[in-house]
Amino acid sequence: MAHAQAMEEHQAGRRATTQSERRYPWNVVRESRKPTLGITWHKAGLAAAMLSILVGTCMGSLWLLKVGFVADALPILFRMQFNTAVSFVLSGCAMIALLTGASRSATALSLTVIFIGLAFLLEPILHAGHPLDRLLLDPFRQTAPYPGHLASGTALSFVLIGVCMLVSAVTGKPTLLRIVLAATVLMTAAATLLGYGLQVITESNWPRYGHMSPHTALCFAALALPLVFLRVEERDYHASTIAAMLGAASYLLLLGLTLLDLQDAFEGTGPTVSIDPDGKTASQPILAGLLVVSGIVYAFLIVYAFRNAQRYRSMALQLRESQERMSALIDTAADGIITIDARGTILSANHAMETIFRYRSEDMLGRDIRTLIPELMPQADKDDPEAQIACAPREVEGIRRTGIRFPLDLSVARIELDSTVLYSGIIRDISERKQHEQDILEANAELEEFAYRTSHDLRAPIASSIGLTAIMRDMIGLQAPGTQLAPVIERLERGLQKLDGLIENIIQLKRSRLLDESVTSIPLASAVKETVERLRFMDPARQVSFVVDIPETLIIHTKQERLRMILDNLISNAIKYADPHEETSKVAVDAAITDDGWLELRVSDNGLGLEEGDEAGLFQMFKRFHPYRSDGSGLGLYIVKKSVEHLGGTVAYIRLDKGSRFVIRLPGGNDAWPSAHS
Amino acid sequence: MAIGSLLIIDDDETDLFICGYTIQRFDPDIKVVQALNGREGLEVLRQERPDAIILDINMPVMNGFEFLETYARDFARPVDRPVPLVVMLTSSHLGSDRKKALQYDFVKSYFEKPLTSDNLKALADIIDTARH
Repeated sequence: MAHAQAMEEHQAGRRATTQSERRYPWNVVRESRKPTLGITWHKAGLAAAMLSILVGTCMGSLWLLKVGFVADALPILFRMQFNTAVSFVLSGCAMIALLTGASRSATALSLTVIFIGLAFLLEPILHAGHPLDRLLLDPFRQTAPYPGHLASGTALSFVLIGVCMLVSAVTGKPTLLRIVLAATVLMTAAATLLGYGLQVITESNWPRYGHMSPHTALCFAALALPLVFLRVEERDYHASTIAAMLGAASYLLLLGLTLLDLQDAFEGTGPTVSIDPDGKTASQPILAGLLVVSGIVYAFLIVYAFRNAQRYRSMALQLRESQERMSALIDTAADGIITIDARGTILSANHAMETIFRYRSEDMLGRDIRTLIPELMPQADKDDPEAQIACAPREVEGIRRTGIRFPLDLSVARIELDSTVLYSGIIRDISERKQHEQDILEANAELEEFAYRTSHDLRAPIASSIGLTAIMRDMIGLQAPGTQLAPVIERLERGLQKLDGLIENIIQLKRSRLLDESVTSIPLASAVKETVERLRFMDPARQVSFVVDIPETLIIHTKQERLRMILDNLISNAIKYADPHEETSKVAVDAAITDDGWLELRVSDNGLGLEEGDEAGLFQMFKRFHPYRSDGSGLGLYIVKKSVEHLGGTVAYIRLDKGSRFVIRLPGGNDAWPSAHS
Repeated sequence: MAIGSLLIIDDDETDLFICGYTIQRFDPDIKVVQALNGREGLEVLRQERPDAIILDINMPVMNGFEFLETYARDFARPVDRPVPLVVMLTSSHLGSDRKKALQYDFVKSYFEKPLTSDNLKALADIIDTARH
């Protein structure tokens, strides 16, 4: 029950993980490998080889020295035949050669071991008369049916171990064959050892595999173990999984053997079944022992599963919390953060992305990133698209949902997951910053132009005044009459007035730049009429007829002071530059809302107009086109242009058959902000 | 040798008055022709041939630099006989303006307003040097 629950928890946890991974794949960290494990297994292999050589040498010596009292005291020791001892020494040497990189020696030694193993293994089939049994030594004791002969299980194990080492020496890397063969040997040895263990516990004979002595089994287990696990990570196998599988397999093997034994006992045909003096088969206590062992193992498993489930639950909780923190961070970030796959499909997008691109988050998912940022992905025809996606911060163009293009800073990082590659992008909308930069550049250029022009235009009247005062002094020195002096003084006065006007204009211009005004509702007709009334008698010498054709109901939403500057300059220009040859000067002002919702304001006159080719400089600073008509500063239309642009509109000049027309277009009724720029 | 005739190109009437008065006090025999901008100056030059041109920079319609460009192209070709030399007379202090004007080899000097008799003496010397 508890196990099943744990499984459920486990699966639920997995579901949660995959879901959140899909949404927030940022915190996926690749598991790092532990290289120290390989070194440990290397040492274990050397130790096993040493053990094998030690045991082999000891047993070989015992056989050679023919120590009878040891054989009497511990007959089980001599179950390991002399040939087995020799084979273990050879195997140990082969192992050391293998681990120290002497692959040629390892090959030769393991081939010898295989040969010996095969020779003894094939003897019962070939009936060669046991030539090898007594080749090296004539056993002084008979401890097996054929003295000196390797039991078939032992011989087979040597063959398998030999093949393992041969394969390793030849390929130089962990192979599945090596692992499987070594695991087989390990299981056989482990089952034998377990059998001996049970034999000690249950005080009964371990019937079937008594031929392999416990120290032989130990040596096999020691040799096989490193051959199973050495560098196994390189094949992406988990050592713990293999160990668990080995344990389970050994246990099943043991269980199977016992059952076979039991079956043989029931059928009464088993050749190895021995009957105890009590009359019970030997398998019964072993089976009982196995049952106890199974019970203990099962209890441990339950406890383990329960602990695991608890740990998993707390890990899942931590993971969820960490992901929530992460997602909160990502969603509150001012920069847009997205993840895309290698083909450019958007997998996730944070809240800032919605603000930047004006799409809803759901609408962005699954969309091709190129519809938002065309330059993020390389062109389809490029050879290696993956290499070019990741980038250091750079400036590219983005497209909002409305189709408006804007500049953005983009940096892309590559995220390598186990099965796939993702890219995470950080996006910053820099349109505002760019606009400010542009504004600063423009303001700077304008300031430079202004400084240049003022060096001419502000100094010019002063230079004239200096000249005129010099002339007056000269005239006084010549005792010229007052009638000659008066016009010079008049000129001086006019020059200074002009300077005053210029300074007034400059102040107005600067003021218009700094003016921080809010938008108000203005009845246009009355605003125009008020300006006309104020300027009507500007030129007392001339009669001007005004026509104002603006519906009284036309209310615009704009900045009042700037509108006044525009109207003042346009209407006073129309009066100033009237054609003296015309009988009456006419000035017409009309306005209407156009189809696209913009306000169009027209100021027309029948004045001097503009010579062809002069339009280019019309709205520039300090440009004057009718020097004889008026002492303009050359700033009026520049002020008009700047004010209109500030309101987000445009100004245009239209040449009439007779006179000029200026057309002001201001953006749709409610919007006087320069949003149209971006 | 004295200056025979001068063309003054300047849009400011007061500056023309100052020039006229100063020249008249310097040498009443000098013939003075006036033009209010570069374009008018070019028209005058098609009929008259003054010894020198006194040129302002900042003028409507065609400014001093635009005049110099056209003058260099249309009048001061090497194949032609020597053309009237030019001196600048302006209120600009800027070194860049001075440099830009003096890059034409027919522009001989750069005076700052107002025009003085010292300027006219220097001009007379320049004209003398050019004749020899």
